[in-house]
Amino acid sequence: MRLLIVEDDEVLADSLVRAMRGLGYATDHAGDGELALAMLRDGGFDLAILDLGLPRLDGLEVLRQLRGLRLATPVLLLTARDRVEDRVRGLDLGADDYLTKPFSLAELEARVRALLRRGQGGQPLLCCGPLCFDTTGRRASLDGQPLELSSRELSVLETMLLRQGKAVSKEALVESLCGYGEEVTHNAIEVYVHRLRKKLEPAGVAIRTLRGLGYLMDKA
Amino acid sequence: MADTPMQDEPLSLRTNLVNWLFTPLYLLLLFSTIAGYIAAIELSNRPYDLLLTERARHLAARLDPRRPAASEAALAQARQEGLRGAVFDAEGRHVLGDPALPKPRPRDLVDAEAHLHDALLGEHRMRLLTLKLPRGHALQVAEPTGERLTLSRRILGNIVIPQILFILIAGLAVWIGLKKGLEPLERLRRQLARRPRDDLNALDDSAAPSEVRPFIREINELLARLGESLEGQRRFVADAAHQLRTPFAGLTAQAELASREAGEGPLYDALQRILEGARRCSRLVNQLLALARNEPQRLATAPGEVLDLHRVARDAALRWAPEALARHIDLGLEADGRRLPVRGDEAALNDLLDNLIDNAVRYTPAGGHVTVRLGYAGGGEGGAWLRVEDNGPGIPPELRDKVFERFWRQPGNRQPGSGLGLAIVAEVALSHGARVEVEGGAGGRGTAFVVTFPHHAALDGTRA
Repeated sequence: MRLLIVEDDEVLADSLVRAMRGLGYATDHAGDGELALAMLRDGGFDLAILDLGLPRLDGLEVLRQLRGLRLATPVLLLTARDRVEDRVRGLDLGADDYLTKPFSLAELEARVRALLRRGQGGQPLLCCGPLCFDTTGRRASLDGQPLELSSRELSVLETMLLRQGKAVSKEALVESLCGYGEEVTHNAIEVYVHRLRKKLEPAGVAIRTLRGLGYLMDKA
Repeated sequence: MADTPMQDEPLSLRTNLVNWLFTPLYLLLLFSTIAGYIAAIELSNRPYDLLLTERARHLAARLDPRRPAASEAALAQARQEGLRGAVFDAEGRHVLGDPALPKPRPRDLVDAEAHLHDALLGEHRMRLLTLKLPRGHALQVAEPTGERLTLSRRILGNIVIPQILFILIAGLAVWIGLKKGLEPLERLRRQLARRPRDDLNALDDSAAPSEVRPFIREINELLARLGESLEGQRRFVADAAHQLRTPFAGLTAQAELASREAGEGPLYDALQRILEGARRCSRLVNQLLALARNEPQRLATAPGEVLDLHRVARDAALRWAPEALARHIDLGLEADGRRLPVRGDEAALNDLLDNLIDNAVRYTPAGGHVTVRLGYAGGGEGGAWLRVEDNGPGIPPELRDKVFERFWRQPGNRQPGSGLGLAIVAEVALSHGARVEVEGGAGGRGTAFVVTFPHHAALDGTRA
């Protein structure tokens, strides 16, 4: 895996390069937009982390020209601006993800992993501690042991695993079950969560109830 | 604009106009009344004088000093008809008739004409007539002025009463005229008084008269300049905050990397402190940005889109759920699930909710509860409302007014914080026409912030 960090602030760039190398990715650095565009044009990068405010060539312009050249290198935008319009504009120009400064390294690393996985045609395995879910085979396992779950329970599990450590609203869970063609009530969701919890809790995977909001899956 | 001298009493345009209009008007009316009075006396005297002259000549024809008895009889008869008469000789000595009459004045004896003037006889005002008789004699005739006075008073009444009425009507007309004439100024005042404190939009001068228009133009230019300088200030804060984000990102990332490599120990602890400090600075920067973003004059002009407060609040609570769980705080939402339409800016409402929830989570000890409640007041009570309630230490009632001031922090507060969060809440609420109140939480424990949005009749149709 080869990454390009495009960031003009040396302190930040240095930490990003070190963090990415720490994850085992070959990482290069470009300090301005023109250099970054030249390097990306040469190809060979699996991902670019692109700052928007760059000298010589603005980050959005780099992105526009990159996509104009029909180069599909995944791009994660970094920006100091957090206005929705900026975000929309970046995504419209073909950015794959977006992170507002300042961010935690863990967050950045998670996004980078997700983008690289996507670049490899999706991620087959979602895990949380001993719990793993195979998205292609739609099978769940706990400590390597297959877990008997109904297809609806699996859908609920998948939705929560995709957002582990973050809150999932009941509405989002209802939507994840919409494909089954019948009305799913909030009460039904509670039943599925109750069943999942009974099976997962002994193994150290917690589903916390957020009063009036939804659920949060986490390692206990 | 030219300097005006400082005055204790502000100059009133209306008083000034009234003074300048009424003073000459009243002087003119006074003059015209006096002239009218003089004319009335003149007019009322003339017919009586003619009659008196006629009667005096008639009497004079019957007088003959050589026949005193006949003359006395003629005078006595005249007296019976209300005319007192006396004859004087060339030396002014009394010869015949009423001895009370004064001797004639020499200037009344210059020719053969009858000379008339008013005189006081005893206590009565009389009209005196002097007529030359043959051989240096003179006739003095006196007639009481009673009838003439009655007539002149009637004429005077006929002049003065309409004059007074005229003054009153003129006063009323001037008053109404001034009121109408100054109406554009009054309208301008009301227009200025009505506008929100942060509205810097230009005043409408389309209905203003040409004299007022230059003022409105000047005010509008002033407002525009003020708006520009406020906008400049806001942009500066926003730019500064943005510029600070990149170095903070570098600092945070470096500290994170270093603490990964440091392992357990004092170095790790120090790096964690640095990280914590950097995060607090970042939060302050974000709050400054939010404050700059929510400067009300920016939002007041935009009507905003119709949003579902329930969804916005739910998403905010979901965002804060991990943080609350980490602090062992039960964060919940209570709503009946219906749409709660508000008109506004989603980013701004997120700022409001984030700061209210952050505040509640931050100041509630582990094991506590934070609840976001939602509802729709309806009626005259406003529209959608939201209440963020905790069972933390609470805010004493006497300090509740202060919490929305920028950089204000409760004395003895040991939680890290900037004192900007609730100022942001207040600004966002203001720009949405919403009301924020601080109360005690459920059962008097803790704190509750209640934000009540305005009721929009137009939004009612969108309610499910």
